[in-house]
Amino acid sequence: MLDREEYLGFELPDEAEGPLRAASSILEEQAARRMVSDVEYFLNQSPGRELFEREENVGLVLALFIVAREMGGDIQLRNGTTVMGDHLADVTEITIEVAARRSDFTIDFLITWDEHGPHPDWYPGADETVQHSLEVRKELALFRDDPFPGQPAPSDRKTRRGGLASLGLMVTPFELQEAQRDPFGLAKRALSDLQRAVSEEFVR
Amino acid sequence: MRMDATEVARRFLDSFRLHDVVHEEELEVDSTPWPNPTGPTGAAGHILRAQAAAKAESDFEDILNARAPGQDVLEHDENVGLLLALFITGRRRGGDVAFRNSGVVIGDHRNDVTHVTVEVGAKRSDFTVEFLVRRDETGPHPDWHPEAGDSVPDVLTLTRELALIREDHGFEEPHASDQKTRRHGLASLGMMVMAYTRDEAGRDPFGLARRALDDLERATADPFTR
Repeated sequence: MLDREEYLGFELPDEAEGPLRAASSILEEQAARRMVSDVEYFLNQSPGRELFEREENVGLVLALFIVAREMGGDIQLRNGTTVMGDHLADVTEITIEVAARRSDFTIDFLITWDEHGPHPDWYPGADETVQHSLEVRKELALFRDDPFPGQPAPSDRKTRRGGLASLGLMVTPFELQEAQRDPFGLAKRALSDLQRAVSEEFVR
Repeated sequence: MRMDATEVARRFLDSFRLHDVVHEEELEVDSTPWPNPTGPTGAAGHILRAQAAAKAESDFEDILNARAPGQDVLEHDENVGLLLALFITGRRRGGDVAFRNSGVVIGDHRNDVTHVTVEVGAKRSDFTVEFLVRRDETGPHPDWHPEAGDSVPDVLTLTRELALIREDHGFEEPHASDQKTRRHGLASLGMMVMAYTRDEAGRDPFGLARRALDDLERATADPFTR
């Protein structure tokens, strides 16, 4: 039996090896276990349920979540009204929405990147007309775009690509084979493109 | 002697007689089989769980470090212990559990029929509540029946709040009459009130957390029966 003081008589963060570390193990375990049921629940909700009948889409959404987590910030997955992942409160916030609607188009995975940072025009001594900070939002539409049963005709697919681009979205079409072969590579490419586009807004 | 995290966790369980809440074998992160162990989802499952575990620790640190000006709830070690106990016990019971402290939110999103929120240093009217535990429960309306038509909604969502407040008697503590005023004031706002002492929270935080969550669960379960 441990003395109570050994667990509760501590100060953070210098002596965090004691009770916090111990409790963290339990918290970690609970979070890891919870993840299984969270993902299962998420995959079975509408409107994304139909999309997730194909395993490569499941692999891709998980790859997006994992790669985004590695990039840091807060990451959230949305499927209709179902939400999983972090509560958004960081300077970098990434939202991945499944079967998202924009105008007349359905997008398999809509990735939104919000970044808060210093305004590139601001400098010490700048007058008040120059904002101190800047909030940038970029969206990327990631969708399957190869000929398969049920997929629109090539001309309609072109309309979708053009339409989404005209809405100001970055557009990344992918083929089934690509998602099957290397979901992590595809996820990394989409998120890196988005990150680069966001970063460019913060430099002059 | 430096112990590894699992060993420390085991001793932690012993110390708080927690074996009925968290079993020792659960300390192995990979003990739960992923629903589909083959293909990309199976491979991803292990990484997702490891990431979730790593994130849990930093999330909790965020909550501990988020303090509104003048808020000193988490400067008391026994309150940190109680917060951990509320989190662990709440999660153990199922449903969605979230924590709030000065604008920082961690834990689950609201997807389940049961949603428990613990707010640290919550303000209600003129009073500060150390831990405000709120439970939202959605279930079938007890008055509904197949012939009821539109006059009775088929679903009922119920919210109950429990104010978990620290009350001690000592030189540095608020006067007993002020403590009584707070207790009655919070009760008049429609909250359940549970007072605890520093000693109680330090001695058995998990027992206290269990009692608070049990009372709240009972109070939300009652209206669903007629």
